[in-house]
Amino acid sequence: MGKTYDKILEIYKRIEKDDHNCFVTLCKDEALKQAEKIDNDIRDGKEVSSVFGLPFSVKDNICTKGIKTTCCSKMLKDFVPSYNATAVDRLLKNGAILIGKTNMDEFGMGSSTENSYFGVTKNPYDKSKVAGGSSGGSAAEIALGFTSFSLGSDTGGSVRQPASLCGVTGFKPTYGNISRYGLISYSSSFDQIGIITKKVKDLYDIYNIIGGYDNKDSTSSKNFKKVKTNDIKILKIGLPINLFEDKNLDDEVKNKVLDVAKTYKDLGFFVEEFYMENTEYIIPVYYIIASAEASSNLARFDGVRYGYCVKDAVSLDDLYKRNRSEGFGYEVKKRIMLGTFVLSDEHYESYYKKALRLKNIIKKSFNNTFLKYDLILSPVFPTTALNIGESKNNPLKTYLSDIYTVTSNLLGLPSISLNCGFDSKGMPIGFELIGKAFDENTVLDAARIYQEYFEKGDKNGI
Amino acid sequence: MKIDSEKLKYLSDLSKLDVINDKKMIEELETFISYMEILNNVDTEEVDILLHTSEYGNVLREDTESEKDSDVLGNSNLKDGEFIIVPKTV
Repeated sequence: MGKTYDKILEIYKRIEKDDHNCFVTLCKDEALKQAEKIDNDIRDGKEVSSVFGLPFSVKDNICTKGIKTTCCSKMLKDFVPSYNATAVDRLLKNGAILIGKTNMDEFGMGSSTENSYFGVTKNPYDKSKVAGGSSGGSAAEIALGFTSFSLGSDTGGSVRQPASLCGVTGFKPTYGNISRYGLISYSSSFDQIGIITKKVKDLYDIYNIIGGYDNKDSTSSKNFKKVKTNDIKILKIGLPINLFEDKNLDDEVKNKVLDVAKTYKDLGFFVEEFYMENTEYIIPVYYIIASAEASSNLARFDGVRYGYCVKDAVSLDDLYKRNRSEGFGYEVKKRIMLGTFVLSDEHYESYYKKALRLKNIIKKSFNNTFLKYDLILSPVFPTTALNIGESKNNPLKTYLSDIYTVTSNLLGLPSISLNCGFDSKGMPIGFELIGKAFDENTVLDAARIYQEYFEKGDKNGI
Repeated sequence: MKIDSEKLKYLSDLSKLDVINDKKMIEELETFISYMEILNNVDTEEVDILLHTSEYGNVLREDTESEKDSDVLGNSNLKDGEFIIVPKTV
């Protein structure tokens, strides 16, 4: 067997011994078959792509032909898609090797992977702590060095937050720049496929391959532009200082992210503090719209054409109700109920439409911010990784913790999270850069420049 | 906003879920719905709704057969040949 085949075999040996619970399905036979093909192509001089022969993983809400795609829900525990998501398809056609499907909060609803039907993913830095979520399995497996990159999905921070808590890099492009075809919908106007890697520099090629227009996704953008590494240039970074004064923000996280601002100044960037308006409305607006869309999107799961199905239903209504009540976990049911509430005749105007009007106000204030700055710098999450079980005690606080990440989804903006150090207990701390719509290149360049500088200076870093 | 058992049952029926007398659910929904009322502090009468941040038109393409019926029906637990069987509805 060839070099690639041996490398892939080695990866499986390591994964099979590991107990962080990163993967929910492994596809060893398919991966070894693809590796064999890659080795033959290399022998024939057919190595054509920058992801050629690279191992990768995919979050379990992104469809993979012939390989189980469960959304980590009992509802879909046996679901096998008959097609590939566009992003997966493009990678496989370019010679990347799919290793397996990663753990997540059920249907992407959560920020700790504790809502997975298959159990929590443990943090690679401390097994008593969560890996974050909802793409927790993806972030943890990248931190553990199993594959080269992982596809996650980001509806409110689900790529960037676990990446931050696991000390790796998470990138969410502008809405519409990576096709959502084959990504099982949670909140269609916010959902976006993202990429998790260790290094920012590795994101460019992967993004160029999976990004771009797709006529199978009606919200796919025709404004996609390929990215390339550019030399350092003077950029203006805004620091939303009121978000740093939030009482839930841990001091160690705050200070590390403020250090990042200093580093950017040292690198010649212009950094300025500003007051971000309307931040108190971001979380309620986000959760009203996300829940409304979830209640509508998840209506399709009735157990008839696919999914969990009881055998002894006495009526159609009984069939639907029992399939859904037994198939969905608690958090999913709660968000469906919340979404149903805001969309119900009585509350539609005062909650759902109100939120859409507020979204317009928030967009206008962000547009003004981006007249002054190229990028916004903030923390990713108020704390480092929490202990397993800790977030269950205060669900409202858990929702409020999304304050730094959800705006990118609300407004469809590109953003990235990457490591900037560790707290006193050795847990990773990340920061986030948010850019203008369709300006992925600036986001990636600024992040890469920081990462390269940080690694040069701090040998205890990533 | 008060969510009582009756309201919960109403939402549960609309959602095709069986969530009845679940105290934890009532409490958590009530807490979050009350929190959402902060939006009432803003006068939005003159503000338009914003559904999408970008403009989209219809995307049309020719219908083509990309999957076999057997693949599409492959995940159903209620099938009989080419058909899906559900409980009697009339």
